[in-house]
Amino acid sequence: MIAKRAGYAVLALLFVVLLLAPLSGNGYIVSLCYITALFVALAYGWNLISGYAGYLSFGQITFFGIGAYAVAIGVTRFHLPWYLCAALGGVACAALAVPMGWLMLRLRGPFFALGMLGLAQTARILTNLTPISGGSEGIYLPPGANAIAAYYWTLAIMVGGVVLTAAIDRNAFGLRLRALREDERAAGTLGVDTTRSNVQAFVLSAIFPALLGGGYAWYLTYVEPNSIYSTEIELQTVAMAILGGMGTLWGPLVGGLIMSQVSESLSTRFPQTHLMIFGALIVVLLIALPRGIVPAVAAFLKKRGIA
Amino acid sequence: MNVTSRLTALAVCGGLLAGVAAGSGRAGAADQPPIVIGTTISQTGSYAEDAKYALQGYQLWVNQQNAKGGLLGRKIELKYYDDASDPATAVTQYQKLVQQDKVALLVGPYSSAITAAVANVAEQNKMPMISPEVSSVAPFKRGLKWVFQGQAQSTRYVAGAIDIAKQNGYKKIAVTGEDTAFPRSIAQAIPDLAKEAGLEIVFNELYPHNASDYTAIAQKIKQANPDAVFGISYFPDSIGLLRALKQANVTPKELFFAVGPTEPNFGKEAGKDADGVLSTTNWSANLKTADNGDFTKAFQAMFKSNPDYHSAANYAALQVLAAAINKNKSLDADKIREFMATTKVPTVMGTYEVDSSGIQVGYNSLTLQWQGGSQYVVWPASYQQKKPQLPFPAWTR
Amino acid sequence: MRPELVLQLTIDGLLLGGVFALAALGLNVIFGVTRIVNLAHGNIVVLTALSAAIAFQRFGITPIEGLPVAMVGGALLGVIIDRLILRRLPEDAPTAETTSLLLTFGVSYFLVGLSLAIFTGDFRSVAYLTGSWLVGPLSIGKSRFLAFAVAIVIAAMLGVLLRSTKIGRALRAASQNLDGARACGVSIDRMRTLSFGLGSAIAAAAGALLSMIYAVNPDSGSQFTLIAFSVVALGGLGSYAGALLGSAILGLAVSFVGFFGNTQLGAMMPYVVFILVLLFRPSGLLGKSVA
Repeated sequence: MIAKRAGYAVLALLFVVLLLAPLSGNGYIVSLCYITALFVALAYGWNLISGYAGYLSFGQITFFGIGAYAVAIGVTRFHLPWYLCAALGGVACAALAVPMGWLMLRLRGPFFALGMLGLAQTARILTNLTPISGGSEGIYLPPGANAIAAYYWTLAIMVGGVVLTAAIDRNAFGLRLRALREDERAAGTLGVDTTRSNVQAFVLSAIFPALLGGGYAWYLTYVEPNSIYSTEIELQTVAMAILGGMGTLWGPLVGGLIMSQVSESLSTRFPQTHLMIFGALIVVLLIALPRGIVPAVAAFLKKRGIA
Repeated sequence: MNVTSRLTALAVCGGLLAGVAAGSGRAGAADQPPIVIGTTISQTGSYAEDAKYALQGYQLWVNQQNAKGGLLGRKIELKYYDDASDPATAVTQYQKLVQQDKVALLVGPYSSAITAAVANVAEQNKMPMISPEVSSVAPFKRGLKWVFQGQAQSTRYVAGAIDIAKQNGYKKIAVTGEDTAFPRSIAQAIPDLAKEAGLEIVFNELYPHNASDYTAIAQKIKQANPDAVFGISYFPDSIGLLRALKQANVTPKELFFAVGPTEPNFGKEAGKDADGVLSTTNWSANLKTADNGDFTKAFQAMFKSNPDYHSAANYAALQVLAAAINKNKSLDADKIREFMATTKVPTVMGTYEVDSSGIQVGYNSLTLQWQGGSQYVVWPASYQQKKPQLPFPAWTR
Repeated sequence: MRPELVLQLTIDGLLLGGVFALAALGLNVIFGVTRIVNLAHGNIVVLTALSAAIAFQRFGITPIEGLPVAMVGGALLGVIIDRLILRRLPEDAPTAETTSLLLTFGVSYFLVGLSLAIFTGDFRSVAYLTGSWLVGPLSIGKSRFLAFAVAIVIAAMLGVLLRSTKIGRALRAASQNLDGARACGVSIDRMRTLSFGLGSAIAAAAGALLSMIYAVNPDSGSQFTLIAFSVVALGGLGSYAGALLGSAILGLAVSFVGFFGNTQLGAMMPYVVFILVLLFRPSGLLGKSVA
C-alpha cells in the first residue's frame, strides 16, 4: 500500500513537472521534455500490439511517417491548422490499419516483426515516389514557435496512452489479448475471436504513432522520407518498452524515462562508444531481468511484502 | 642525446618562451572567459563519413585563432555534440547549446536535412548562423532571417561536367543518382543547364537511398547509349554504380559522379577503376583564395591528412564570423547578422556573398578528375592543375 | 524486345540472387536449428567485409585468400554469441522466442558500435575482380559470379553435411523435434552452438565476397539482415534448396522490375514479394509447415 501511494505521488509530481516545464521559457528543457514524452508515448502505442497482444513489430514507424506527412501536406498545400491535420492522420491510419492488420497479423513471430520492417521500407520508397509528398526534397513547414504546441500535443497523447493502457490492463479486452499472447489456439477454442481482438489492438497501436508523427512534423518544421521513416526511432522505442517491461502498464513510462536520459548522457559522454555500451546494456538487462524493470521491481516489492 | 631529441627539446623550450611572451603581452586573455561557439556534428549515423572533414575545418580554425590570441582578446572554445545524423537530436542539442551552455555564437551542422531543422532554433533565439554544409537552396526559400548559406549552391556542382561535355562534343547525357534531398536538387537542375548547352538528356532516373543493387540501372543506361553519364551519387553508391557500369560494360566517353569521388579515399576503395572519373569539389589547395596556402599546410600538420571541401567550407564559415566580430568589435547578434547579410568576405573558399534570402552567390564549384590515383582540378581552365583526360578510358578487365 | 537483353537481365538477376543467397544461407542454418532469427547476422557480414577491405588495402590479401581465416573468425564470433549470451536465457520461458529476438537485437547494436570503434564510419570496399567476362553481347561480372558459385557450393555442402554425416543427422533431428532428439541422446546445447558457429562462418564468407561488390560501413548491417530474412522466409525455413530458389526469384524480380519498371520499385521487390508469398503460403515456397 505504501509503495503504491508513493508511486502515485511520484507520478503526480512528474505530471506537474512535465506540464509546467515550458513555463521555464527554456527551449532546451522543452526539447528534452518533448523527446522524452515522444518516446514514452510511442512506447505505449507499441506496447499494445507487441506487449499485450504479443506481436513484436519493427514497423510502427510506417504510421508515424503517414501522420507526419498528413500534417506537412495539410498545412502547406491545403492551409489547414496542423492539429486538425494530425487528427486526420490518426483517423486515416486507424482506417488503414484495419485491412493491413487483417493481412499482416496472419504472420507470426519473427515473420510479423520483419514483415512490418519491410513494410516500413516500402512506405518510405512509396513516399519518395508520390509527387504530393514533395518526394525526396521533402516539405518545409513555416518556421515559428512550434515546439511548445507540439510538446503539449505529445504530452496529451502520452497521458492518453497511460489511461488507455490502464483501462485495457483491467478490462475484458486486455484479458483476451493476454490469453491470446500466451496460447492463441487455446484462447480460440475458448471462444475468443482471435483475429478481431488482434486487429483491434493493431488499430489502437497504429493511432499513437500516427498522432505523434503529426506533432513531430510540426516540431521539426521539415519532413523528408529518410529522417521521418527512421529505423533509429523505431528501434529506440522498442528498446525502451522492452527494458521497462513489455505488456505492463508502467513499463513504457519507466523504460522511456530511464532510456532517454541514459541515451542522452551516453552519447554526450562517450561519442565514440555509446552504441556499444547501449547494446551491451540491452543484452545484460535482458539476461538479468528478462521481463523488464517494472515486473522485476514489482516482484521484489511483493516478496518484501511492501506492495 | 641524438640530434632529433635535441631539436625537440629546443623546440619545446622555444615554444614555452613564446607562450610566456604571448601570455605576458595579453594579460587580459587569461582573465576573461572564452568565447564559446556551438555546433553539432554527425559523428555516428549515415552522415559520419563527410561530417568528420567538416568538424576538422572548425577545429583547425579555432586552434589557429587561439594561437594568434583569440578574438577580442578572448580565447575561443568549440563546443559540439554528436547529433547521430538525426535532425530531432540536433534540435535538442542546439537548444542545449543556447539555453544551457549559453554559447555566444552558433555555426551550422552537417547536411541540408539537419540544417533545415535547426535553422528554427537560430531564428527563434535570434542568433546569426552560417551553415557551411547546406548546398540545397530550398531551406532558404521560406524566409529565414538569421541563417546564411556557407556552401556553393547545389546547382553549380554540375556546371563543369556539362561544360566539359559541350567542349568535347558529347551530346547525349544519362542522368542518375540517389533520390534524396541533395542529389535530387542537383539532378533537377540538369535538364535546363543541358538545354542551354545544347545537350540532350537520353536517360533520367533516380534510385532510392540504400538501394540493394545498381545492375538494373546500369543496363538501362547501356540501352540509352549515352556519350556521358552523370551520377549524382554519394560515396557508397558511387562505388556501387561504378562497379555495376563496369560489369555491364557500359562505355561512356565521360563519367561524372557528383560528390562520392571528391573524398580523398575514393581512390583507395575504388582502385584502378577510379582513373578518369570526374567529380565536383568546391575548394582546392591551388585556389588563390585568402590564406589558402596556410590553411592547407596547417591542416596537414594538425590532422596528418588532406582537407576536403567540407573542411574548407567550415573553416571559411568561421573566417566570416571572425571578420564580423573584428569589424564590430563586439559579439552583438544584430551587428553580426547585418555584416553576414551584406558584406563580401574573402575566405579560403572564394568570396563569401549572400543574396537577400541568405543564399550563397559568391562560392563556385570546380571539377576534379582522378588521374593515376590522385585528384587534379581540370575545370575551370583558370584553376586547372592538369588537362582533363578524355574520353573515359576503356575498362581494364 | 531483343532476346540477348532478356538473357542479360536473367543472368544479372540470377547473379544478384547468388549475392542474396550468400547473405541468407547462414541465417537459415541458425533459424533451422534454434528458431532464433539472428538480427546480428548482417552485422557479422559487414564486420567481415570491413576487415576484408583492410586486409586487402594494407597487406594485399585478397578476399579469396582470406576466406578461410574469415570463416574461422566468423565461427568463433557465432560461438561466442551463443555461449556467452543466448544460452543464458531460460529455454522454456514462455517468452523465449521474443526475448531471444531482442537479445540478438542488443547484440546487433553492440556490433555496430564495435565496428564503428574499430573501423570508423568510413565506407570501405575491395577493388578486386571488379571486371567481367564478355561472352558475345553478354557480360558476366566476375565478383558476382564468384559469389554465386560459392553460394551454390555452400548450399550443396550443407545438403551433404545434413544428410550424410552423423553431426548433420543430429542437427536435422534437433531442428525437427527437440524433445525427440534429446531422447535419442542428441545434445541440444551443442547443436545450438554448432549451428551458430556454422551460420556465422557462412555470414563471414558472405562478407568477404560482398566486399568486392558493394561499399559498406558499420551501419549497413541491417540491410543485409533484412534481405537475408526475406530470402529465407520466401524459400522456406530450414530448406536450403528453398533459400536458393527464393534468392533467385528475388534477384530476378529486382533485375526485371528495375529494368522495365522503375529502379525504386525494383528496390521494393524483396519486401513486397516476401510479404505477398507469406500471406498466401505462410511456410514459404519449399518449407514444411510450421505451427
